[in-house]
Amino acid sequence: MRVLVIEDEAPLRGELREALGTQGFVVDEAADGDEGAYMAREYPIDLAVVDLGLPGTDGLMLIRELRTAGRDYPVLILTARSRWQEKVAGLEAGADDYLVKPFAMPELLARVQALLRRAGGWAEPVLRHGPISLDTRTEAVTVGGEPVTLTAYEHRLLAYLLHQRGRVLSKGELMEHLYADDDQRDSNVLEVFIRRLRRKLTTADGWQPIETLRGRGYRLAPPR
Amino acid sequence: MNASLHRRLLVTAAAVTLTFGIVTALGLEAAFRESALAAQRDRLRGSVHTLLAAAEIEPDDIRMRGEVAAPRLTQPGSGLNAWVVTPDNEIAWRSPSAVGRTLSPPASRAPGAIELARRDGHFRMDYGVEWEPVTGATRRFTITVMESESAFLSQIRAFRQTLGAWLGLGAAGLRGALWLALRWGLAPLRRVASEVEAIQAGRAASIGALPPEIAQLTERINALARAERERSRRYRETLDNLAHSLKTPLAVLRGALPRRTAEDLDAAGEQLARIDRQIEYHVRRSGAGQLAGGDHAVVEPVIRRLLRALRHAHSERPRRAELDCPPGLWYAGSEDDLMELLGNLLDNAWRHARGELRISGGRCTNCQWTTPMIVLCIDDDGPGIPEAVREGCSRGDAPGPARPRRGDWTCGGP
Repeated sequence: MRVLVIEDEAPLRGELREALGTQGFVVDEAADGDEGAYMAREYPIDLAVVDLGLPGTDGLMLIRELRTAGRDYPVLILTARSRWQEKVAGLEAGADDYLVKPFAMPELLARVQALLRRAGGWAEPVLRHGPISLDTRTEAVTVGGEPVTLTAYEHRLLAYLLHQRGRVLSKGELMEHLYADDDQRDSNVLEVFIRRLRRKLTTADGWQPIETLRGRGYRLAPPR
Repeated sequence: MNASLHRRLLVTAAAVTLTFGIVTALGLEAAFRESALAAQRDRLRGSVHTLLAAAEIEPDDIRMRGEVAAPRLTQPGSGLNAWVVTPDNEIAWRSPSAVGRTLSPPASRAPGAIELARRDGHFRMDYGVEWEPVTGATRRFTITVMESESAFLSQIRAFRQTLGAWLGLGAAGLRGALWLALRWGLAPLRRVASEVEAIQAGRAASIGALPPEIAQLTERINALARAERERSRRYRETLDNLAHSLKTPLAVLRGALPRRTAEDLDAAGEQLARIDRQIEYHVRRSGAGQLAGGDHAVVEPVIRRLLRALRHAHSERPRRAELDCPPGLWYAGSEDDLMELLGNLLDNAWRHARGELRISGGRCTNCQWTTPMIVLCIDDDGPGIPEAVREGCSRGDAPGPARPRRGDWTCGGP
């Protein structure tokens, strides 16, 4: 999943990048509202973390702009001003949640996960699809109740497939959401990950969770 | 003692009116008395001339011819008596009304001398006459006319009564007119008081236009209120900016805490949390007690905005919220303050409710305060606050997590 962090304070921005990165997210960063607005509109973002007190285009204006542009991914606002007037204004502008500084990083990560689940239609922190379950809190994956060990990229891929279940995801989209811009993207490597993941998730009775739709992309197979 | 302006002016006006009335009464009575005395003198002189016209002067006798023209001189006890006195102070003639009366003392006057005196309850005129007959020797005598002053005095009395009645009526009417004039004249001052009260209660931002005499006062009050609001706004803005500038570094510090032992982490985290709470507390305090200055917020739209925001932010916790609040219910303060007051309460209620919230509001009908107050109730169906810590929660020092319980969270505000 790809997360955009728009925060003008470099140390905090760095901490957010690091924390989100360890959770398996691809992180894009912007240090001011103008750059952030551009990235929010143009990049394939799954969730944005926006500081309200930005230089240039302020946070509220940025959120209104991206909603007007039809970008409906979740937005979590960070604000130093804890007054309800600011929180309500942020939510009315189109944000989905707010966090008041200073915050505990685990809380931010939990809220990011919650927003992504909500956007994917998941009500619980454990994403289930047939025999597959992924606990977003512990990152534990099980198939038919048996734990399965995944690499970081495999985990990202599975999480994205679960969040986008029911949709056909092209290779291009998968690469955009799973790789940072400056990573070397190779569709062959993606195919390797798909194959490995498919093997690890195939059940004892042969059900394979990832379908390949030739010329179109991949999709989570309907559970039996 | 600070007597009211109205009373001061009325008392002063009453004193002035009374003094004026007394002086006027004395002046008018004196003028009337002078006039009455002059009339009395003229009547006495007229009586003398009547007697002279009727007199028959003989060398050794003085008689009055026929009936004397003044009928009262012929009636005993009429109060009008006349004598003719010789130069030897002998009574040569007395009027029929003077029978049995003595002239004391008889007074002979030089010819042409007229003397008027008031003595022993009578007016007395002594008129000296030198009579030159056509034939015979010149005779000298004095005509004395006396009249009782009772008529004069009753005249003065009657005048005094009439004057007193009319002046009294005039004074009462004047006092009434003054009371009305003062009431109308001081109305702008009463308006100043009610408009200042409206500013304090948040129903107005400034005092309206008033007469030029107190315009300077009201302009200064308005300027004072504006300066106070501006000062409060700057103060709050400064503290907000301070809080904002501190909170981001706090967030960085929190994230950058060195990973030592869990104890170190807890201790440092607790201190950071304390710093954060102190900032919040002082920023909130800076906004308390400000001059409302015409700010007032309608309650229902603020609650609806908060409920929409909570519904959005807590979409994974759907709740049914029932709102019963009169559309015109207003809060004497800024919308910002009202939102702050209700935001935390509604957020807590939403988080801890099982499925339902009920919010109601209205004016307080049996409050002990003189300023109108509103009552807002937030009721949720959650597990509630344990009885043991309820009192501590309302004081703000409840230990441990405060979990709301089914029941009313009530707050009253102006």
